[in-house]
Amino acid sequence: MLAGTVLPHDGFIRLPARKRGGGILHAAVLLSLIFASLVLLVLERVDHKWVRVLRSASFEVISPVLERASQPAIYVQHLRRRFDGYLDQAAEIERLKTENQRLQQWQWKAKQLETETQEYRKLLLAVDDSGYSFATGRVIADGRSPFVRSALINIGRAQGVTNGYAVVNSDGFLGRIVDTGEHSARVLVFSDINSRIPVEIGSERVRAIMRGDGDGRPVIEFAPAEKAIAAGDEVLTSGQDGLLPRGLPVGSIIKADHAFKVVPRVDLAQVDFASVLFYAAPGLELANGGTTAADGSFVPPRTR
Amino acid sequence: MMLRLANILLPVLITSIVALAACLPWGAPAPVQFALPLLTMAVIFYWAVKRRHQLPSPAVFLIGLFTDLATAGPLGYWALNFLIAVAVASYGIDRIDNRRSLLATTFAFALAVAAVSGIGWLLSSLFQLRALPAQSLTQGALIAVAAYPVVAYALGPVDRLVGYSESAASLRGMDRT
Repeated sequence: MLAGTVLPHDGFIRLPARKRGGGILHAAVLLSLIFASLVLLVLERVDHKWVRVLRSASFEVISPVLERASQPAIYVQHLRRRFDGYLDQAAEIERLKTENQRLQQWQWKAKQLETETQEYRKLLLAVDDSGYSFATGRVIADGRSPFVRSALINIGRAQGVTNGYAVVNSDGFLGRIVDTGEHSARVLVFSDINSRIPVEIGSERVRAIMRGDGDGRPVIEFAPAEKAIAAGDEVLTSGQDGLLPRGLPVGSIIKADHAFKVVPRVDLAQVDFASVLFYAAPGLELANGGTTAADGSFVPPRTR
Repeated sequence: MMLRLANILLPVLITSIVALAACLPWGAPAPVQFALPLLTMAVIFYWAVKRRHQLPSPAVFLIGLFTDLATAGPLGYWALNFLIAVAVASYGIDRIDNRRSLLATTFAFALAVAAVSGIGWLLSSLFQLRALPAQSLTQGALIAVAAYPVVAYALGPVDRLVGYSESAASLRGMDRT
């Protein structure tokens, strides 16, 4: 075989070197694809319907793949949490003992307040807030950019999820639904740079807007009474936008870089389950395509 | 035949698996999370330097689109970043060191990461009309650059395997002629 061919010392035949970096075809294809990417970015920016269609269609294809592939990632997450738990078990027990004592005092106070509130409600003939039903799904992929904070969950239209619904986990508010597929949905996390959430702060219930700035510490803006805000104050959703329910816990206030920022209650890096609250506010119906009739009454969208 | 085909498809396959893994919720701290798609970029960069013809630009574009869709980011963002990495690997590295040593390729990769991070920050800041915080972005970029030699070391055996397949195929071709 191959008479006259002398193999180099490592036994590999050296193939004729391809022209490095060269090739007009390669350059043309590369430039065309870069141009196509830029066009896609522009279409995304203007929220073109093609991009929405492509995204919706891709949900159905990508979600099952991500759901299966995310199993080992979830396992690793749990394993790491368990390992972290073992490492500081003694400190954790001490912390829980202290917290338990503090909570027992709060429990006593809360029971007193509950009785008091019920009496006032009876006097005012106030209507009870209806509880929200919800559906819980697993996070199967999450955003990978400092400025885009979103997550993909494995429940969608089939489970009754609609754009605009609030998303929470056991720690508090997480974000809202911005895209829905049949069996998956995209959550815009409140720390995303495009997120603006109306909130109320502290016992004075100072109303303000919480603006996501991408680094996990959203900024408080448009607070009419900044003097009434102090570090440590609790931040809750105010429901002023007519989209989100009122009173979902978001985090607490810190002062940093001459601004009030919010330290989220939810550890955004470690969200594995998320619940979608089925809170259909009138504002949400309008946002999803409902209209207002000539007499001012609300006309819901035809298809939900 | 099948084995050779599999070997030749290895770069696309490995890059796709890394891209998929980079989108999963590992629960890592924020800077590491931001570095994950840049690790996909590191793999793309490695193949673009070593075996450009086996990871064609359309495949890179599709992997970028997949990353955009799976991470629910702006469509075209990662596709553009990955293609910029291919462009730097194809046309930039020979200007730095035509022997393509690990040091030179790491340096070229650092330039590519700096370019895509800078462009990403600039576009996002222009979009918001204010300078966005760049700390997490910088940390993610530094982690990715530090990880490049590890990626190159891990992909070395695969590169040799693909090289062996190509050599064996050439030998058979030469034998027939």
